[in-house]
Amino acid sequence: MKKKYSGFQRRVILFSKISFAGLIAVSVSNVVLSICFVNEKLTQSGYTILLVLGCIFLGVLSLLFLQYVIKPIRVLEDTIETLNDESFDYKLDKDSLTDSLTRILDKYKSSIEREHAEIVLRQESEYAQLQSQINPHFLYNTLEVVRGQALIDDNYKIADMTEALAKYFRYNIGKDNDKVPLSEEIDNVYNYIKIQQYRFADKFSFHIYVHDDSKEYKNCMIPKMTLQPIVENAIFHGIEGKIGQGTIDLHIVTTEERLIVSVADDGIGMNEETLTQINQSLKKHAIVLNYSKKKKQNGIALENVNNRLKLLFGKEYGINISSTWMVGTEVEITIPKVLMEAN
Amino acid sequence: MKKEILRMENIYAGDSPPFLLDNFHLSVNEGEIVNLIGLSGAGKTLLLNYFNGSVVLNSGRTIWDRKVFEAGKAFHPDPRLACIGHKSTLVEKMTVAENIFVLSRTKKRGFFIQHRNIIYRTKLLLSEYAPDIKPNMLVDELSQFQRHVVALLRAVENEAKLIIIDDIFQFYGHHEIMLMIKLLMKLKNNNISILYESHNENFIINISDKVVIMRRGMNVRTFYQEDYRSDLATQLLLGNDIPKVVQRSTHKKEECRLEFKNFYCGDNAKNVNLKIHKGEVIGFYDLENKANKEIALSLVGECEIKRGHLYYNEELYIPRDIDYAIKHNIGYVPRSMTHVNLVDNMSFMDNLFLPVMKKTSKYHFLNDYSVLKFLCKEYMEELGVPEKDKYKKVKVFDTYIRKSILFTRWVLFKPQIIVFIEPCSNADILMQNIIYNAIEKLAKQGCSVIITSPYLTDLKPICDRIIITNEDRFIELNINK
Repeated sequence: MKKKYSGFQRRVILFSKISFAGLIAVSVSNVVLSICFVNEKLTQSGYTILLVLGCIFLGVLSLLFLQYVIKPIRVLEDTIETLNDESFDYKLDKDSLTDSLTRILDKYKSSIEREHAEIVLRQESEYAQLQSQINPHFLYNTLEVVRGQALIDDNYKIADMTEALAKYFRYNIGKDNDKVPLSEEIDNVYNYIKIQQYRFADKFSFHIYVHDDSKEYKNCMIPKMTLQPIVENAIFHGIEGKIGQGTIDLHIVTTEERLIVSVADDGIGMNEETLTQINQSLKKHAIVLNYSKKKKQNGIALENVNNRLKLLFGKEYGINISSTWMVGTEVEITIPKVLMEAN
Repeated sequence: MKKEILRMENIYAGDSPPFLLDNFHLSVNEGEIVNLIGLSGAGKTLLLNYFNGSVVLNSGRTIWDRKVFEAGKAFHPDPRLACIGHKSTLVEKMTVAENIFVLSRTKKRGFFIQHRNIIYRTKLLLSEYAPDIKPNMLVDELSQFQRHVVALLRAVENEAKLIIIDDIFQFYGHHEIMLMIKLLMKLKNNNISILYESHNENFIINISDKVVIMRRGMNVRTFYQEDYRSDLATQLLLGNDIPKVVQRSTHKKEECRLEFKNFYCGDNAKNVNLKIHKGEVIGFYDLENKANKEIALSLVGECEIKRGHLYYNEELYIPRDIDYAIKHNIGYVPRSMTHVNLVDNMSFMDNLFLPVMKKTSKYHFLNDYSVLKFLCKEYMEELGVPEKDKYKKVKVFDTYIRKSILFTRWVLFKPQIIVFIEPCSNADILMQNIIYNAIEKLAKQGCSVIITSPYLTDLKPICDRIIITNEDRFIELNINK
């Protein structure tokens, strides 16, 4: 198979060949001219002019060689030095070689930044976990005591609620992996809903619908605490403000490549301005976000979940939100389908 | 396991807000029926045009059969993605077999067409999906339903994976709807996905796996069979543009406007004996949408009267043609309004008052513009025409304003009888409201309104009386009682 050269290689090779061929041509012609001159077939002035022309031609060839062979190699050397310095203030000349190098450097820069953002996010989440881990065992034990006492007093509602609360804390505070099987995340949502249903009485109903023939959905890996903040938003920013009963529907769809989870409520929704703002912040690349300012508003949970998903899986995954003022909101989460390993 | 064959992500069409497609997303899996519902102007046709390759998206990406189509480039039409719209793509002078097999684009064929072969294969295909269609029939002879079936079968022959259908049920009677649903189910079972675009929820809802609600270019909610709620879907469709509810009260007077006596017309309407009163709104309903239309069309000379008499204002009336009917103050609004539509290059005022110019002009030839301007002001707000667009050509207005102008023109014309053929077909909720308002105004003027429809749901909200034609019998349904 014929080897394909890049634009840079082709150009350097072409001009090297031209220079080399030119050099040979000038040398051969000089020899021929000399023979002609010796055999007196050429006058002295003619011989001199032709020699000067040959020199000029050689000069042009050298210039070409310098411009198209030597210079690109120097640029290459300079760029490699830039890489060695680990400096990202590069500004390379417009050139096909430097363009591709700039692209590589851009990718490198964004991956470093992404990694940095991921570390910051993880550190923040670990710090938050540490804050709440003052003494988890004390909390679990106390909740168990409350539950036990409630059972002794035949107060099954409190026992049930305390159990849900203990499970909820155990899942959230527990130092498990970043990603968990979807079944665990669903269980956590159920625990959360159980607690909230005691609080809101019959204010809302909650349903989970699974659209997966293969039953693989339970083993699909999902970042921990992805669904609960969305469901929490549906309750507090959707259903709570609604007059009358509401519904929250959670749909789980698996395809060959993706896991799609949507949370839809028929609450008060949001106006177009807020929706546009949230959609714009969701569209931003995760690393653009400013972590120092923690705004206390509706979109922050969505933003956090969206950032985590984008950082973990890439920009084509994440959250999509649609809403109608006074009618309802739908949040769709799309992530790649990764099944839990057998062991 | 579901295989996603079409995925649209963060799609934007248009340079600046309001976008024609606004952060739109859609996913269609293999063998799935998806119903995409949206009002007029929601962006459904734009989607269809995108898949035909005639529209370029501004942002987002489409993944079709694992191939990625980025924004800025047209979608490359693929025979495995078939679009069936209102405009037929069949060749009318060719037979069914030729349309299905000769025009198929998938397989390489020889130079000569082997008629026996294609007829045999068509027979096989038709026997599975539509036994009543014969391979040798010319497309010209086929009904609208049969044409759609042929177009679907051509898609099957092209090994289509996804068929996008633009609201075809509006053309059908009940029997045809049932047949089409059966056919779509067969296609679904053969792993062919269907994306059905419609203005409102209809018969496809029951067989849809997903119902996607689209409003102003956005996908506002995806329902599944389990959680579909008609009331919520309607609210999502309308958003915050909730139309005023038509307050219906009967305007029926004792005076008889029209009487059918032993009336026979067309092939299906037999022995009609009926009185229609002044200001009455009467609906003609037929499950197969035949006899009802024949009775209504006979009034404007569009259907042959075989026997019996027709009395208009207690005088014998023999219909000739539409012009004759209009001369006698009988209005006619056909199903397809393309040839009675507005003049695109005229202003809304000129369009509105053109037919009544004679009534407002001095000596029948000098236009009194002061009267017209006064009327224009009166109707501007009612029709939703902004002050700045007063002198603009009507082609710049949306469908709703255009239809409002068209119906208001009839209100100004003040007919004594008006015949509406399936006015609510192809109409979404907002459009239905406009139509019902116009009918209400006409009835209030004392006009007798005759409406035909194959759907009782279209007739019930507006009619005083519904005549149900069932074979040779007529059943009266008095709505007010």
